[in-house]
Amino acid sequence: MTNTKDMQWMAAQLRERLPGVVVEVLKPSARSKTEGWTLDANYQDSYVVVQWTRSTGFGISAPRDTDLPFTEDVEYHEGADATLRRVVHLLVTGEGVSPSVTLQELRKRRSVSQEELAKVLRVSQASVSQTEQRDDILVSTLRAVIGALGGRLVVKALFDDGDVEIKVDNKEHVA
Amino acid sequence: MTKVERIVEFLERMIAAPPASSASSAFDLITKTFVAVEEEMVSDDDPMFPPSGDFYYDIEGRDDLLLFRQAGHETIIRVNGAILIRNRKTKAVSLDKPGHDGKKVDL
Repeated sequence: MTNTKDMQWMAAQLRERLPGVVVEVLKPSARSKTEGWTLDANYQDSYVVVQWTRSTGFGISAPRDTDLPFTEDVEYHEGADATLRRVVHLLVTGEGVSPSVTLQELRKRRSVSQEELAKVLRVSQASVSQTEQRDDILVSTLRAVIGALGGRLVVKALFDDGDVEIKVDNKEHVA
Repeated sequence: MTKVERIVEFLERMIAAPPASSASSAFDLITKTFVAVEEEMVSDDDPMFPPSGDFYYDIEGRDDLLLFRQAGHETIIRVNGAILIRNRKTKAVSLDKPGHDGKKVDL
């Protein structure tokens, strides 16, 4: 369940919680069968955009005036409540979004179901579900999942004077 | 390459491309150019998000225009193939490409 009620509820909640906020909700085109909704929220000097589709859930961005097209970071949330809390926080603090995602969020962004991923990995759907819920995960498992989603795993150490890509053995753990 | 480097390449290729003949061919031009840049250039950071058909909206009173929204930007396509990509908030224009008849998106 989502879209119409959630986006309109979110807009109402924002107006109630943040007096002075300017909210605009864009409904899907009447001429097409698309389902994506967009919510724009301006509050003081902060600007936050929420976009929703059934496959991706809620994507939140905090575009800056200097951003180039298509380059804005997006973070994904499940559920209108969690999305609203995050949007309020971003509007009040003026912070940017954190584009890091969970494995589950990444899978959804790639429009891959747990069943489809399980088939590629030759494991059960329950195993995929367990992997997505783990706090700690084998690098080899992570590499296999990313590969199955069409990507390539790179592990980097970030230092003030530069980044270093780390060669990791399949048997090592991510701390 | 960084996202900024890739999007600059995308915009340069869009400017150099022949004008699109229709709205659908303009959308195809954007998509194909975007995919080509993302496939040819090794990415150093997060993926970019091109206009998506999921976020397609009407502009009241303008049946000749299609509006596609991304996070901070909007891509407006005219039935003559013209393409306008601009910042939603500041209206700063990143691309203003005429259609096959030489006319641009007029708002």
